[in-house]
Amino acid sequence: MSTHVVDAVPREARPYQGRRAGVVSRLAANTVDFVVIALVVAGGYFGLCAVLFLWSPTAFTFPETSWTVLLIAAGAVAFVYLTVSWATTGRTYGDHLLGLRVLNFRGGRMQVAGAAARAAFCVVFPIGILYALVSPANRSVQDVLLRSSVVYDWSR
Amino acid sequence: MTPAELLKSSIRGAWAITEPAGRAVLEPAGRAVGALVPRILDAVLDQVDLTRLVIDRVDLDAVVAEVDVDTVVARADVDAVIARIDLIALAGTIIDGVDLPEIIRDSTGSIASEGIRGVRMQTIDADERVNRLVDRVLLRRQARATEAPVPQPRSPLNGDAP
Repeated sequence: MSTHVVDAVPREARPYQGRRAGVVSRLAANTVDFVVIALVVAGGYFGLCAVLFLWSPTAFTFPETSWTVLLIAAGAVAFVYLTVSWATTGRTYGDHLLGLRVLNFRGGRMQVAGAAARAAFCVVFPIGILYALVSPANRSVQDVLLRSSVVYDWSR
Repeated sequence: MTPAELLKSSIRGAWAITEPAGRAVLEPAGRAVGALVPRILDAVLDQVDLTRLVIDRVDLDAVVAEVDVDTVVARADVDAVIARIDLIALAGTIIDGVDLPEIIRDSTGSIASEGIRGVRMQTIDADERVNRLVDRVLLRRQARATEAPVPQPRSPLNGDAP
């Protein structure tokens, strides 16, 4: 008896399933992730404000933050968010919405160390994604150096 | 003796004389004919396209109409027939044909998931267009190698991670 696997991926997406994604999909996913990170940073700021207000309501003023502090905070949030996402489900929320998944050089889910290295690289050198525009294999600078791949994956 | 009795006794006398001789001739002749007829029949049938003859001369529809199909089916071993069929493969072919996953998505999917699907397909389309444009600008003739590595099954011997 032969075994038959029912493919849950829509018929029109099947030719692309498992292939490396182009730069438009990846930038769209990154935009969603940027919004998520911005919301988390903003939530952290307002959470800090709430604590300060409860600590001393009469002396409360909104704390002033420099761009440097803001960027470091956003970078830290992004690093943790990307590392945890890629090491657990293989996809961030943006990847999930756009039907993408990050794979290691074996085609499996990234290990924590690999995910952390890729996350750090993406935070420090985000423009590296634009190499996927001219790469003959749709790979970013991070993908080339860490041998990772971002593929279309519509499966759950 | 009357003439009728004379005739009768003459016939009996003649029969008594000719019967043994007749038997001696007819029995071997009968055996010879019995052996010859099947050979002649075979030779004749070899020269005739019997199938064509039946098709041309016999009203097969009328013959089939007389067949009691229910009786034939009742005598058939349906279980044995089913056992010879790869039902899983057959079910898979049917599911592929009717696109069951699509039916399930249509019946359970929300407007949001339909929207997400549309956005995904549009971005894939945009990826393809941008890739083609860039490749044309770079005078690249070969298509992009977008095949990603496929995870290998875990080996029971060395326990390698996929």
